[in-house]
Amino acid sequence: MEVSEMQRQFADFSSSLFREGYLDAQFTQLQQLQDETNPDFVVEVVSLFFDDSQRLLNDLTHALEQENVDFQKVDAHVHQLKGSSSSIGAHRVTSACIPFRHFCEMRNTEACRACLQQVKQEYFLVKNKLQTLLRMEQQILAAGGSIPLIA
Amino acid sequence: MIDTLLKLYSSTTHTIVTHHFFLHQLKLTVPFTSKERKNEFTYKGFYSLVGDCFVNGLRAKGCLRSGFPPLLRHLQEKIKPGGRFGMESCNCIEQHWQTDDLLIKYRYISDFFIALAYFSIPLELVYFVKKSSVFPYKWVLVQFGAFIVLCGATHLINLWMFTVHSRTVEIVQAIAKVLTALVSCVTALMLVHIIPDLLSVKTRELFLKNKAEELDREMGFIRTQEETGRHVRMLTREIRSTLDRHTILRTTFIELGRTLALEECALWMPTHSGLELQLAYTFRQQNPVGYTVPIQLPVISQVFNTNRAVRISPNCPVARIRPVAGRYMPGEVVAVRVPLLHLSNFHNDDWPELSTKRYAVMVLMLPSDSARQWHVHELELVEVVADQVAVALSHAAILEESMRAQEQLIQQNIALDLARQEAETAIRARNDFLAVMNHEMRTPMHGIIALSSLLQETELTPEQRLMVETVLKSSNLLATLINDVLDLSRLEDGSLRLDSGTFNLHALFREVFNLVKPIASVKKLTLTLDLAQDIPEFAVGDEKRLMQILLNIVGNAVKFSKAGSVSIKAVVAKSASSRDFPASELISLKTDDLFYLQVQVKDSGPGVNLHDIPKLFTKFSDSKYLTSKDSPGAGLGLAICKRFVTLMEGHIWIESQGVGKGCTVMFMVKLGLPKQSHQTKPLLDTKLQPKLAQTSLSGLKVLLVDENGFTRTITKGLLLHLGCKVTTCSLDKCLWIVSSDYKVAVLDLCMPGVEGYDIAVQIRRKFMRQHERPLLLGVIANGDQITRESCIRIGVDSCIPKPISVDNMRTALLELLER
Repeated sequence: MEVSEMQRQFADFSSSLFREGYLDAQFTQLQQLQDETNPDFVVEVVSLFFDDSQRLLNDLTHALEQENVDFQKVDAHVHQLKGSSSSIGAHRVTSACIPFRHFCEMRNTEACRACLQQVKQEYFLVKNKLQTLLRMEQQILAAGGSIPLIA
Repeated sequence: MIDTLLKLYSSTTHTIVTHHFFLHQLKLTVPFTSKERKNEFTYKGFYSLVGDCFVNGLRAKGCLRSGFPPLLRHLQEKIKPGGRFGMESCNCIEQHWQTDDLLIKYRYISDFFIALAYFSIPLELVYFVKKSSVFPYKWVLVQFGAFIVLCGATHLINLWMFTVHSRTVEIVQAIAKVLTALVSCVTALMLVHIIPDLLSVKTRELFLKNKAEELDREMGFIRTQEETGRHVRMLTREIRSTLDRHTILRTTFIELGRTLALEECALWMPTHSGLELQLAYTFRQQNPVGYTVPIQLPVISQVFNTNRAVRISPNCPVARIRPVAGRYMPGEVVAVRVPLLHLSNFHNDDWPELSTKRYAVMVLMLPSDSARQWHVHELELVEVVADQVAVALSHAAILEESMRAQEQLIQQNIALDLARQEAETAIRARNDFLAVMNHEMRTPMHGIIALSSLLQETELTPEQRLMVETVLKSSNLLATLINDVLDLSRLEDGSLRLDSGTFNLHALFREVFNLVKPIASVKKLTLTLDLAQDIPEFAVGDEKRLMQILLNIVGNAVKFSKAGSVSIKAVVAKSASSRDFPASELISLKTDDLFYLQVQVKDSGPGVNLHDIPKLFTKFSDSKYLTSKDSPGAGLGLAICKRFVTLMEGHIWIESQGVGKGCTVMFMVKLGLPKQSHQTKPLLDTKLQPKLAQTSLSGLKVLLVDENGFTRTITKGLLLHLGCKVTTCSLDKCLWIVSSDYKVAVLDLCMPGVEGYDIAVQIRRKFMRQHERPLLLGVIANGDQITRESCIRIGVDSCIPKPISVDNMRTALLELLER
């Protein structure tokens, strides 16, 4: 595949991600932070995000399966997840966390579980997308091209 | 005679009288000489004789009547001349003995009795006077006693004159008589004085008796009155002790009925319509059937017209409560009016007597067959009671009303509280909604706008270009609308606060001018800007909002003018121009710190109908005067302008000569004057910043404190990108690590709970002196004023909201370092 073709596909895919709300401006910021001094910044950050979120989701699943749900702990986890997803710009994950927190305050176990499912779903979607994006980037870089900046 | 003798004999004992009497008796029946008397008539012999007589007498008490004469005969035999006592007869007496015997006997005995009586009278007197404690005339008594005693003595001595007597006896007799005469005369004289006295005593006695009777009567009367008074007081106390209408009336009736022993009492109250009297309460009947009586009866009018109790006929309708048993005469009936006072009566200045009011009638009936009459004091009692009842009833009514009003107020309070809670909930819900939608709505909008503008820059066919332009225009409009709505709701809440900063006023006007000029020139409108000389170059205020206001107004002017010119004129308001001001509340127009900026935007557009001017400033008003179809009509622009202007403590108003004659929009806002004129940051973020910043930020030692590893990494990357030297740590370790080496410490304050704030406080405390302490930059979840204020209160030097962009971080750090 041609580099320009790959670049075009990358640009399309990228803008579609933004358009569909998977990513927001924060991700752009992150991309801007990547420079000569820090060439793998985005990759590092994204993998860190995956690890962190996975851990959090596991903890959440575990906590909500208990007999007596410790809503404070659950709330703390969700807060953290929300923070990380908003830092990376995973917009939909952040949005899914908002009602989750609300239901934690209401101590509604059933609703929390439903929200957890929603969050998981969004997370896996965005994870997928990000992995695809990163793979495309790698491909372009391997082919010798440069990553086009999406304004 | 013998009977009386016997009586005396049996009644008296051992008195000298008896002794002498017997002696005398013996002397009567036994004629013997003095010599014989002296010799034979010794006490010894006599007493044995007396003794015999006594014994015989006692023995034959029952038949002494018959017994005594034989006794006497017996004695006579014994003492006959020649008998035991035998005596030498005195010839003289013997001869006369047979013929004058009876007369002498009678005279003797009468004398004796007289003497006896005379002696016993003073004894009686003395005895009874001694017994009585009051006797004013003691000396009279003595005198009278003496008189009587002497008379008695005289008569007694007379007794000796019947028989042969010596000269001594005569002398004694003479003396006694003389004395008696003396005393009698004196007494007679005395009596002349005394008897009138005694008689007057009698009259006085009578008089006193009359007086006493009168007093008795009066006392009886007073007692009755006092009773009545007591009853009234008791009644009043009973009536006043309760505020319940029924209890008052029932008590009244019971007490009245008891006090006056009534057969029946009844209360007739006026109905609501005021045309009839209805039987409301009775004394004896338990459930009064609803009798009604028209109020216009003459009898009732008579009762109403006077405040005294009126006697009425038992046959009138108000008195015929019970079926009258035909045989008996119905008792007298009295009726009295009871004024029913209302709360409204007491609002007048004059006493309730003079205002029109309603009366009830109290009817009292005496028992039917008692022939009792109504006494005056009873009527007075009834009147007093009626007054008291009226007062008590009015108190009860007032109390009832006030309690009802109080209950109503309580209900209203509860309802108001509920409504307020609901309103608060609604506002909270709305705010929550806005807070969420704020970000959510803008983001896609910005996405659309950004991408459409990107699209515009690509290769497009003219149709596509047109479509894209339309999309862009509509989305711009939508974005503005959304922003306006969000702003307006925040404005209305009062939660929008103006920013305050120093800015270049001249530059602002020029900017607005430059922005509007292209559109104006397209429409072939001439745009002029006229700034007065005394407008300061720099001012303190909310630059963004002021620009918004100006843009809005000028934009409107340009939009609605098809041809002609639009002029912008700005002056500093002086007192002279306050005449133009519709509502004047300017206190000081120019002080050292403040000035009022007055701006006038004139256009030559279609103008506004005078009636429509007020509507322009209301939200979403339909502007009917627009003729052009492609300019959007409804909008919030002017409404938002008005609110911003009001927030800046100013006024905005529109003048127009009428339709087709253009219109002028004028507004005044309060702005501050900067204390020192220094170079402020320019209006727009320029791209020149990063180069300057990086040089000043590079090498800056920053301590990054964040619990969340992930965000820590990102922020660290950001800071590294800006050229800082970053050390990261978690919350618990940061207090150890923080030292004066670090110029800035970035703290994450969005964690739930107050751990971040605590850390900030502790860091502050750790460093005593200001210049050693690293500057604290707090990362907060949302950038609203309240959170900022609480951060500043804790002692954080600056805040930066999430999401952190490179530019934001840069600006914040620069600001921090500048201070």
